Amino acid sequence: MVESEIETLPDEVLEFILSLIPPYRDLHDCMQVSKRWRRCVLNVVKTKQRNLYRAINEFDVKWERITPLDMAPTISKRYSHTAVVHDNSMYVFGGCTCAMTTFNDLWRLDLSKRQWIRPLAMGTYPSPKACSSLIKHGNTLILFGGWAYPPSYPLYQSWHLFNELHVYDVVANRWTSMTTVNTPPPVAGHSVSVIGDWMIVFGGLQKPCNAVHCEKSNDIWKLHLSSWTWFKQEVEGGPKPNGRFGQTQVVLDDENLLILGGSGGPTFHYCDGWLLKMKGELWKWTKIEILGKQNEPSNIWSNPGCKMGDKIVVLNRIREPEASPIAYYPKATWTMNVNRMSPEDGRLARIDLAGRRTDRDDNVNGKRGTLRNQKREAEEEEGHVGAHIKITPLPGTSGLNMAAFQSNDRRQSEHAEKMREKRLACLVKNEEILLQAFKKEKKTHHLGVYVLDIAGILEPPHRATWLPPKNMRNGPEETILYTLVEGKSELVMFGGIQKDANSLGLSKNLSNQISNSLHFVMAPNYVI
Amino acid sequence: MPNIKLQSSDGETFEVDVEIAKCSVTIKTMLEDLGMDDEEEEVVPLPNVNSAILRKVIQWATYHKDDPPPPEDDDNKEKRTDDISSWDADFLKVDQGTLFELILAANYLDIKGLLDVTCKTVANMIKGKAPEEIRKTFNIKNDFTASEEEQVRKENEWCEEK
Repeated sequence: MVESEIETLPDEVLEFILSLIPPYRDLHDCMQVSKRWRRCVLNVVKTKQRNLYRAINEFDVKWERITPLDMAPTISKRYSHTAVVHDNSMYVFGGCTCAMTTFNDLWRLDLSKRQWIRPLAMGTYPSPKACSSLIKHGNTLILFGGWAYPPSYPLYQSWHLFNELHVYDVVANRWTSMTTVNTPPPVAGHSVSVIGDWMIVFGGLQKPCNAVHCEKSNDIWKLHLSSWTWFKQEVEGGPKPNGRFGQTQVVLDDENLLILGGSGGPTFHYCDGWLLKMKGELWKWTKIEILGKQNEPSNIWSNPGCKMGDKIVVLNRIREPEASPIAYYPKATWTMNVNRMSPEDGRLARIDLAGRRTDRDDNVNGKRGTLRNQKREAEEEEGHVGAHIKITPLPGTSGLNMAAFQSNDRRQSEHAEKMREKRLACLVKNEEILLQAFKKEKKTHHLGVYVLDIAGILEPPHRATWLPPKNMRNGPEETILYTLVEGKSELVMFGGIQKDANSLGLSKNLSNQISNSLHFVMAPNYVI
Repeated sequence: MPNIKLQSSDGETFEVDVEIAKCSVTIKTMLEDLGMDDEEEEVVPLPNVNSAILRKVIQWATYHKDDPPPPEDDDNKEKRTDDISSWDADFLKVDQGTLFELILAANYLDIKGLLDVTCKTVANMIKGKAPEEIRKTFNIKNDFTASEEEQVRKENEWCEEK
């Protein structure tokens, strides 16, 4: 009998095996094995891509999360950073902490191994900043603009904005500070695209020279990437978008850009769309007619959009308040809640209560001299009554009952052990009920996928449609100012800040609200 | 528990609990379609599986008989190729020939769990290897010319359908 080899497997099985290979370098290597393998890899890629687009179209996506391991070198928690995918990696630059301290570190996420690497780059480093832009051009990454918060003294300083331009050479692992001919004013929260040899910059918070205050800009600047010359691009008269920052900008083709959403100030958030025709001396803005307004996400200025084929994907709070009873990450929520309750008022105290029967409710309540909101307090009391009732009939509380067991020490201790376990289980159960009630009260919102269909947007009447959501799958807890970029057959979301950080009085530690988690949006697994 | 007799390609008969045999969708459908009665002492022929492999398959199915059915959408769980249970990993410490025959058998018998875990094992053998190493590991003939290979190396498989 001929021994079976991999080559004896039918194509469908080989393709299934290949679909389990990370779709980055590993899969590319497989393609070079033989003609048959190349054919199979191409099929796998096609299927993966098609599955993701279909999943997005039908809102049937799968969320995956990676929380960095404690031991591995890991990027610190941050928001308002910038990210770009190049080759098989996602690069992340800068951003800030909850205290608005800005970073100038560069990290690389190996997308196949899902590992963070910090390339210790040579050359001239950029300033620590947030809300800058990082975009890929050939084998380089171009970093422009951003802001840094000044130190608290002297007082009354405004944010510092940058117009510095740096190029990171991926191969040489080197930062270079670029000197350019002409320079746009310092800017942050702008949007960029690279088309051919040009980098197109739109909008952002600008600080014109000599001005004290920042302004929301609607200027277009373009940078020629071989002569390193900046030009301010003028547009035809007629309607144009208002000045804004934090918008989404996507390339439709070599001559067309789309701007979506953005913010015009604290109370002024846009959800409009504009088409920029980049042809001729004067470029031209056209306002997009957006249909499906009822399906529109409420916030498209601090939630970046990402183009996938002829759709733009935006993450946003899932609309229906009753749609999120199933917590997406039960484990994570659990840990978070436990963290939030300090040890002495939480679990430890109660386990102790189980161990030492003398320590009853009043004492424990006395120990927990912390301020809590009343509703939770009340629920906690209820929980205690329950626990109390279950505790009372246990042996050891009454000398009389114990008499029967006293002759047999071992039996007694076994029994007591058993009862203690039972009681512990009961306490843990109560604890869970409490935590759940607590969670409900907190009203956790989760992110879901929103999809704007931009097929045919280039043709008059220039329409785009928000697709009616079908089955909203809960994503991570609501977060803003993260990054969302397209990997291979997946979307990668990184970092950000949980939105109601300031309004949540319970949180003692704001840094808990800032994330360094990675979330992947992908198609559900397909099986042969 | 009613038993069923499975006959391998080389004529050996195995008596197996029906419930265990039914983890193979192929056998399950066969029994349902043919309306095979549990009482009858019928023998199910499996002409594509030899006795050595069938023995392994039955061993695997017996161990996993009480596994809960795979959840339809396990959103929380990250599907990775390294989540092979230690029992399965031990079970699959076999030579390549056996591994591929197990895959063929799992595919033919339509046993999702076994197919999944065997294919993951192969995927783990592929991961992190350069093309030449992959060829060597699996004894694959390189049918590219040097220039073709260079071309494929530069090819971006993700650019075609965008």
